[in-house]
Amino acid sequence: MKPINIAIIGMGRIGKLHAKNIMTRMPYFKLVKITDLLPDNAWLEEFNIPFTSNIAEIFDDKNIQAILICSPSSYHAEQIVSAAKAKKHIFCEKPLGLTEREILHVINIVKEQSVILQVGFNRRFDSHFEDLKNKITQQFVAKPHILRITSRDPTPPPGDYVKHSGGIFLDMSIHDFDMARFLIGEEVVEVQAFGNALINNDCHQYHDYDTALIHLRFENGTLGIIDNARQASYGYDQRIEVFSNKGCLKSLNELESHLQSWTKDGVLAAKPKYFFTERYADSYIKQLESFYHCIHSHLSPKVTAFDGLQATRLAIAATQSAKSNSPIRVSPKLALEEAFF
Amino acid sequence: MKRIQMAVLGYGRVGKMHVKLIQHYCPELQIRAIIDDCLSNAKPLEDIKAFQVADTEHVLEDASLEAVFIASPSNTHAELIKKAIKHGKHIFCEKPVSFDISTLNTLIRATEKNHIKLQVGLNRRFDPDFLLLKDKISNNELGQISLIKITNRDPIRPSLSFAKRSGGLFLDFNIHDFDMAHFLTGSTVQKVYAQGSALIDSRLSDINDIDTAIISLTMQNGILVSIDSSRETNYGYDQRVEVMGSQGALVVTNQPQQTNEYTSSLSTHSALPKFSFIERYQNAYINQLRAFIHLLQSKEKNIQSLATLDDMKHAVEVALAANHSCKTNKPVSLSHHDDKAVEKSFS
Repeated sequence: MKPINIAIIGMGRIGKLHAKNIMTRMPYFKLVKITDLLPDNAWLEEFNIPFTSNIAEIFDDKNIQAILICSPSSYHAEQIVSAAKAKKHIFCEKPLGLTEREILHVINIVKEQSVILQVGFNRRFDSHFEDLKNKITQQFVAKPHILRITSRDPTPPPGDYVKHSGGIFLDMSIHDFDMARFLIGEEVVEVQAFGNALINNDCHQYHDYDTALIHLRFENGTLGIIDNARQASYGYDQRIEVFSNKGCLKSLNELESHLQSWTKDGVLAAKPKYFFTERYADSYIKQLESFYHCIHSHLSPKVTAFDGLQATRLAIAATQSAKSNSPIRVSPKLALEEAFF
Repeated sequence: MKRIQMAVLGYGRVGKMHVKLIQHYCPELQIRAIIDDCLSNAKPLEDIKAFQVADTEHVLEDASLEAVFIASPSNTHAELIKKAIKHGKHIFCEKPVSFDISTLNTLIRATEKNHIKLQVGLNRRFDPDFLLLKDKISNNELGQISLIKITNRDPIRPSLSFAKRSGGLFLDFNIHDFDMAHFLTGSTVQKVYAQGSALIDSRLSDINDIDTAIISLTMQNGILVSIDSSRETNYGYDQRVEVMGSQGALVVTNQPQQTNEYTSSLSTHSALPKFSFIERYQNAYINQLRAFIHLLQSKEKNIQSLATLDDMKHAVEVALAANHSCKTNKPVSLSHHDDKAVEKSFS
């Protein structure tokens, strides 16, 4: 079986992760080219990957069938459009764009060109969360009453990053919005967010939050609450709880080890796995494996452009809500008419 | 040892529990009288005289009586406190004391003016796990606190008739959580946003009540508090608190009924959390009594209890704001003209 030729735009942390996974774990993809405005030459040499400084080469090369977009967020929408017009299947890291308008445009082009667009909400492919979703589907808790998502980073990003990130809701909570929709299987119709910046100076300086609470009201009546923090010193905290009076499902952290220390000073267990590359390692592979199957068998992706749109809508709503101190309603339907311009 | 002479007002479920705990754990207290109209069903109690509600004044006129213990229905608390103050008796009163802020203000002034010691039944402040938590926070073990998460879920929902007179979920149930936020942060609540629905029993909507809620509090010092609540788990009393700060987090988990585990090829089973509030909070109720005894025995001038009417008033203010927030679906700010509560919490 001939592998699918794939190219990567962006050699940042996530681009390199995908590249390494493709080269070592995915015989069905062949990484034929990579591009970036600021190449890491040492890394390129070590892994012997063909590089081009000219992004147009990637779009024009007829042999390239699929593209991974791992560039900074502000480039995503335009690069998806170029890739789609070049008839390439696209995997794009979140977010699909910075505004609703941009994303609707992207959805429209991709549909026109009949190419696949999968968005990088990798946590859906995490085996624990897949199992959680299955148990919800099998009615372990009947209709959920309360959804709690805890998502905390071990250390905050550097000041420069915070400055351009779009804020905690667009940069961080966006995964949790997608997870909430994924687990409950319903749209969120209203968001109310609160935040503070008591711990991290950069967040405080750039008028961003380092800790946030986000209320979600689902269309079916389920209530949700997300708590995010940029700086949980004890590690990467990723926990989910789904509750009703019929049962309670909990997803706990994966720990660095299963070693415990019992001494006269106390009982100590391992911390949660340090950060996303460790905690979600398998999901990064499974999501691209799924992308491959979609290309190969002409299937719709499991995480669609609409999912990308909705998560961004919720993030924008949360940002507005925190600023205006009032709940923001979110339309559950795709406004197709807005896409035509 | 001279025992403190006390009368118990109210012998329902909670009153019975208190009397039993007093008899087993508090030799310093002597219950001389119990007042309740429904005493005919109760087992006869040695050395304790039973009285009808109509005899309350007569009981309180006894000069040798030093304190009263109020565990009667919520709507009788304020009146009984006034009567006790009139007769110079020190007071323990179960929550909520009153749902009305002006009544609470009146009672605060009256106890101060008449030098009456008063402790309110905010028992969770006396729970050993939450005391440890409070201690570690006060010792700055977590650095700057930024977020507190509270899960407060009851095992089995109360009857509809109870719900009708309870004051609603926030006043009856989450009042403990509002006080816990105040207690742990040493700050007062500045803003509330409450979302709630009747997801378990839709009939509650007809009486303007709810059974499921998620509440966000913003404290005056910026700390965020998240509370999730349900009237019914069916798996036990779910009472968890998590506090996160710059140096780490502290977590209080549930207390299982026993520590046993069973594993088979199919799954692992361990015990459910404790099922009744009496079981779960027994130590808190005992510690609370001890604190009351200490309060009564103290010769210190102007001594305040560890759970004051001011604390109760703040919790009620938050609950009323939560009601308003839920109804209007908007965050509600609390105005603050009284920072006494903040100072006291740091002492």
